[in-house]
Amino acid sequence: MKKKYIVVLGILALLLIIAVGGITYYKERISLDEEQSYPEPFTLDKGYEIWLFNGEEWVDASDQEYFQAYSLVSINVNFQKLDIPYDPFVYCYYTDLNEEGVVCNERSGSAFLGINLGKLETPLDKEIFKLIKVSVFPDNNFHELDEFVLLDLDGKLLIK
Amino acid sequence: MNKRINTILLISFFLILFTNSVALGAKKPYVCNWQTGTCYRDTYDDGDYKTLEECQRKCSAASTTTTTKKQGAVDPSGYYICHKCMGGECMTIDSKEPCTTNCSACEKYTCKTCSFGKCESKTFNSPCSNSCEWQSDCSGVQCFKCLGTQCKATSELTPGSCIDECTGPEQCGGSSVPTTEDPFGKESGWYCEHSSGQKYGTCVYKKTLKTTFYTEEACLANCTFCNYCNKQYLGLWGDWHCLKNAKTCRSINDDQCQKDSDCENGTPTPELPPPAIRYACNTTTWQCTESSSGSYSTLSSCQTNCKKPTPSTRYSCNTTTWQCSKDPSGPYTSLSSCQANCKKPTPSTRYSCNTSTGQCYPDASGKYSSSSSCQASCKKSPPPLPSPTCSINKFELPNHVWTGVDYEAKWSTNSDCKWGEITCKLGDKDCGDNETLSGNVTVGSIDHEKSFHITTPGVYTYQLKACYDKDNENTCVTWEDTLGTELDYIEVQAVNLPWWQEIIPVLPDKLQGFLRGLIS
Repeated sequence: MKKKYIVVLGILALLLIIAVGGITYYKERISLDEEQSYPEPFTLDKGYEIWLFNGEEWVDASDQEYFQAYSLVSINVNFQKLDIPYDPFVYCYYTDLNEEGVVCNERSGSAFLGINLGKLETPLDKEIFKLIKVSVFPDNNFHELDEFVLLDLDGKLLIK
Repeated sequence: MNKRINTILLISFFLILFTNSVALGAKKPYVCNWQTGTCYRDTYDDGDYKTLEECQRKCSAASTTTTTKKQGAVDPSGYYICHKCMGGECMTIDSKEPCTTNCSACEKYTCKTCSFGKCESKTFNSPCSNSCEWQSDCSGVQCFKCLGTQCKATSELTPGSCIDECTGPEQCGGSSVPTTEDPFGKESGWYCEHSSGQKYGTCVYKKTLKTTFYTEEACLANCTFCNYCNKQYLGLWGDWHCLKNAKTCRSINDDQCQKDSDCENGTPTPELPPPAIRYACNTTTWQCTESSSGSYSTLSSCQTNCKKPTPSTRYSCNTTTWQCSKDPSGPYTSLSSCQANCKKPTPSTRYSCNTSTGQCYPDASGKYSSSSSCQASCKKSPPPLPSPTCSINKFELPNHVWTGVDYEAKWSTNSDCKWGEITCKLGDKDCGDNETLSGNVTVGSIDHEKSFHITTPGVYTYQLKACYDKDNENTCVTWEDTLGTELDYIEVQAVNLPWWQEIIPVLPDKLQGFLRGLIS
């Protein structure tokens, strides 16, 4: 009787391993497929790029003000196209499109191309939302008077 | 029963192994380049990481520069440090997504190639292969040049005078041939696989970081190997050995040696082509003779030009008779040029007036025919009246301003200034409606002030120009800093007002005071 239980448990364990392995395998394949369809950053000759996924392809939406809720967007900021009064500098950015708050990094101007915020989703609960705000500081003391705003873009929710 | 259980357990064991290898991925196709912080996909899936994401995390973490945190900043390891080639430079990107770009386009390839008879290292933008190893490789009459999209050896008249344009079809605009670029920096192409000691390699089409060729023909042309001399060290002293089929041949039968004894004094000097016969003109005997440095390539062309020049007739001027006569050492080569200059100078009988001094002086083209008539009219002219000189004494602007807040601009000029203008530039463009200071302004002897504000953040460049007569640029002057910078403009940096300063003015008085105290 005990042997029967062992056999059943062994088969169950085997099925579990196969299931977990299969799920992991397909997840990885999907993630690789998604990467291929991602727009190459910094291909537009602009200080910032906003790409919008229209269901089939990524299109340039840099001049777009209104967005539907849950739209998939990708934002890139090209520091080489913006006048930065400090070098090296600490840049900080904020967007309503993720939950990360203010993110800051110290960089040197000559070899730093910019930031790629990756895939983001427009919110449903904000009629006017912050697409991106980027400021630079001369150092990480973050004195408010030293703050130099490079970019401050708002988006509006398209209500049908 | 026991046998059955054992069989089931054995099958289970193999199934688990199989599942793990397939589902969890025994293949690790991604490799990290630790120097650039970029991940590549290995052709044979023989890498270190299973997924691109995993590779990029490890790779970027190793090459991440200083990162600071503020107000819940994301952990630096959450970012990918990506690279992209922009304007020939490898730039860094902070990316929330796995990298889709790399700096392979910025990579330079250095190969040895012939340059003015010397074997020198040269940098190419595409993969290349050495076309020479020793200086003797470049002393031949062959030079590699692009013919269409192919790199071919061409014959040069003067040994050692050519510069190789290419080492393979990669440098010959082979881009017209379609290639499949790999996003991870590897290129598909024909690659010569060579087994040691074999005369001929095998051309295979594959992805590789090594030199590839666009066409199979180009690969096959470079996939033949010749003998060459190589010094091999065993201890301090080295011995020359003839390595068999070890270096890409530049031409058929390019073998430097056949056995070790051929290399006893290093690379055997290749036989130079027989020197071309040239001819030189002996200007003493006016005969053509053979000379390696002669100016003529054929005897007939030398003989045509190697002739004693016949002396030309020359002329000189007799300054007593003012006549031209034949003179072998005379300064004139023609009679007409001599006669044109051989004239008795006529004394000046005319006069001109020097208005600066009020004195008359002899002048062949003078206005007056006699000294007395000149003196009667020649008077010293009065000095010109000084023109009014406009100057700017002061031009003051704040260097930093908040957008939307009013500030004072101050300037003053002397009384000679009748017209003034302040110009504004925002980058290369006019400031437009972004500020309220630029335009025509009043100038004069008193101090002037104007209230202005800037509406958009940016660095604004202001210039003040004042004129006595605005239509005469010579009477205008532009303000210049006299404190050492010698700049003729003032930069005003306009920045957005912090949120607390925007909110405070609209709050009740008590709350304003409370907030000010809190912030300060």
